Amino acid sequence: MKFSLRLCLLIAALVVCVTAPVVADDTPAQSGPQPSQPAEPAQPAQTQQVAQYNLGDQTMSINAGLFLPLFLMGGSQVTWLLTNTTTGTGYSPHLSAGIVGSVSWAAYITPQIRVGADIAGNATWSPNGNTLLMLPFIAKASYIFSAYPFEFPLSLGVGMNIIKYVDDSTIDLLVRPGVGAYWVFNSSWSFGLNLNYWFDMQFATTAANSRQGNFLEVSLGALYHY
Amino acid sequence: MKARVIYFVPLVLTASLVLATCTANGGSIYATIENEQKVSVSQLSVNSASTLVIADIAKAAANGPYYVAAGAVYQGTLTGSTVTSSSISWDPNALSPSTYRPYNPKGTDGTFMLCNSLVEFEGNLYGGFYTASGAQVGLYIAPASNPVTANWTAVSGFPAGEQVVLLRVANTTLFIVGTSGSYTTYDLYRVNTTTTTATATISGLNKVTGIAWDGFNYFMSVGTATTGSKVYKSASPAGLNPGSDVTPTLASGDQINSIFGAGGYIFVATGVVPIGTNIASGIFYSNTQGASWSNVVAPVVSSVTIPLLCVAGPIDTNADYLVGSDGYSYFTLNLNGTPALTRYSDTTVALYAESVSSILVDTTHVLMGTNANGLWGAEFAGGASSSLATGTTWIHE
Repeated sequence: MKFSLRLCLLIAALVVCVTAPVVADDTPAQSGPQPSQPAEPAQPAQTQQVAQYNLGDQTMSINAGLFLPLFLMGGSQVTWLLTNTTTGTGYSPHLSAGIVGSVSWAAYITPQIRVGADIAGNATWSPNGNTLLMLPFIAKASYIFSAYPFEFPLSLGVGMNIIKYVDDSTIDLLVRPGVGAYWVFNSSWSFGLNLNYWFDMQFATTAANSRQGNFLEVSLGALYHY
Repeated sequence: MKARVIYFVPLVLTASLVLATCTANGGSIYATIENEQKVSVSQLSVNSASTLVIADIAKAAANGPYYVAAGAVYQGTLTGSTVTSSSISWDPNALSPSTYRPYNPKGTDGTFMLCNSLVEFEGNLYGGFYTASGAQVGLYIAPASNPVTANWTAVSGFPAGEQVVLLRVANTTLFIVGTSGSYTTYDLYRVNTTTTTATATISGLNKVTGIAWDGFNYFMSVGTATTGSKVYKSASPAGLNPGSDVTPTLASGDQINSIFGAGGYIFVATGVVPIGTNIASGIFYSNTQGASWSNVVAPVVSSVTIPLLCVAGPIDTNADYLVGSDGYSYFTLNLNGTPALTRYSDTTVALYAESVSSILVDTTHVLMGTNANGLWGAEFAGGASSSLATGTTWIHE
């Protein structure tokens, strides 16, 4: 299956647009004086555990950090991307460490599981100063282990990764497992660290040029609950 | 309503997975990165290598020394038998004082003259020089074995006040194109093997863009897109006035940028520069002494028809020639089978997007001069291969 880059971007944008409004809370707005309700009888004190998040609760997060190229597979041998490419003076890796940033949205479908989408971007550089750009759109599911005031999301994302390098561009299949550690600051905000492993599958027209890129994202995140 | 969230999660997942299966152009970016090599930092620089405009490249003998005209005259000495990173040492270079021009003559005002054309002929270097003030211009000669400042002298027979704009060697003749300053009419002079004195040959020409020898005849291209380009031929240097008109059929409004001869072939490189008009006929070549021409159409990249600037070679035993282009690096022209132009494909090297205006082929050693990004060198594989030698890449000299 082969799409134009423009079409892919359009569909991705539509996906984001379509999903955004349907998850919005449609509880009727209440304004003006409300009819008085009879006071409910006093209840005995609750003793069971109350879930912190419920179905439909949502999160937005913003993340930024370091992007570490690890290795390429699929060639005649594994190529470690941070190793030196020259025998002369200086250190010139295949790709240098880069930067990464992302914006994520998710909604809880159970108190421990949330699903959503990420839009990310990163940049790394070759020995000759050429920039490798990635722009992935990822569907993601996370399972959250809680140990108040900390949360440890374990996530798996799958999506498309738009890559541009000099005059070439391509769209790859990206699988991105990850783990995080977040400190719950209050009922709205959490702050923490993400470790995401990027496994990017690049299928070339010439099979011999197909490679799988392996990268590690180390980023800080701010998570907003609403 | 919140429950509706779960219905759309599969939609997001499905859409993402579908999109993930598509690719824009076959995707071999990682393979490119895997093979990318660091290009050496240019040493052929007095001030800034990245802005050097290379006017001419010459060699004193096989395997050098090489001489490059870019304002200063640079001498490159090859160590070993292949062009690799730093295997050619250049003088002056980035470590030398910016006012140091060891291979340029000095003008009467005591300043180093600047070089805009350079060629080797019969053991001597001939150069077109001018002072920065423009007060002094001329054609100078020095022994190719030692063209230091003190050894340059003015060529007799070449008039004072004539600005050299083009030097070309064809067969046993050195051709000098000069202008008296108007840059509207040009004069042709020549030097033969038995003398170092210039002889006036033709005056009042349109702009001369090239002179070459195919093994049988002298060919001269004159004119621009505005005046109209022509190719003339003659069996003798003096006969080029006016010579036989053997102009190939160019696209309307097109121009000839250079002409090159080798091995019984004559090549004509065409295209209006700078890029933008999309008028370029490509390469014309003839092995019938211009009686008939074959055409290899100009390459088109992203809807841009690419002007071609120069031809050199052959680079191997398989009839492969190198063709410089305006802004799209160089192409390999193979004359076997269905002749075609193939672009240099390594996008990771800055040469990929440069204008290559001069090429020197010294068996498998190749130097390419660019408009505003210095000099590049490489070692080709040789034999029947038109590729770079295994494991090598272009070097920013």
